[in-house]
Amino acid sequence: MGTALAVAFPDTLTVQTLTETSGTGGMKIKSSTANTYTSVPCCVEYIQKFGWRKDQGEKNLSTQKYTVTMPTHLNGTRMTLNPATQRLVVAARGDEPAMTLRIDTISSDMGVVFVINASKEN
Amino acid sequence: MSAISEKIRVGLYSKLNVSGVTGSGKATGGVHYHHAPNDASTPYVVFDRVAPGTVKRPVLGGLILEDDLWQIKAIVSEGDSTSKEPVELAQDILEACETAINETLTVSGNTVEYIKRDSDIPGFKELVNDRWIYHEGFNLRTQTS
Repeated sequence: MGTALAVAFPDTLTVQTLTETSGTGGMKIKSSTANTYTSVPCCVEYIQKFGWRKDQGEKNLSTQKYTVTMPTHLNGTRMTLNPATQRLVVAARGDEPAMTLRIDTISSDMGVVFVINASKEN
Repeated sequence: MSAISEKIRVGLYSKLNVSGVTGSGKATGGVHYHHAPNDASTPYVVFDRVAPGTVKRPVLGGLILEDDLWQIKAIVSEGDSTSKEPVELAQDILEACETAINETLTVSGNTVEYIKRDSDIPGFKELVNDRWIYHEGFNLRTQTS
């Protein structure tokens, strides 16, 4: 099983959660970051032709879209994902450096795997 | 391009690019004209010449007054501060900009007669991937003789 898992999910990632507190003027303050799930096996693939450069925030920003596939359960417990407050940090593998992915959408395929559309900013 | 506006642009950058504006807890991503470089990280300041005004001249040569409107914006992303709301941080940066300008500007060969905050711009936001980016700013009126 371990070998099969390694073939299907060759990478690992950490699900980071940004903690929000309420400010005094009606906005949220993202106050800290916690590692909610660690060493989650996953498969990260770039989505061909879904990348662009756009003027955003008064600068030219490059974005590449990725699909992340990962099990819905970690150590027997179903993970809860939230695109509003979480990010995925894929661990370095070989010469490939770690990368932070921003979650766009999350779908659950048959309750077995999450299929996540995510963005990497460059 | 008016030579006076170029002098003011350089002068404004010199006034804004100081530690009071770009230091810790402020616009650590720097001060930029027109747009930020691709590798800049928020929060940063972008200033622009938005409404060149009338150039008043006497009948016979010379210059009476050149009017100009500049826009100074703080660009802040949610999550840039762990203690301030994004708009609060942006307003703090703008206050630091106004303090740095201090209603004075010296340029060579001309006299800046008037340099004051003219009006605020309506703040707006844009969604960039998974987060909001906030734009807050003010217009700065300059009159140069």
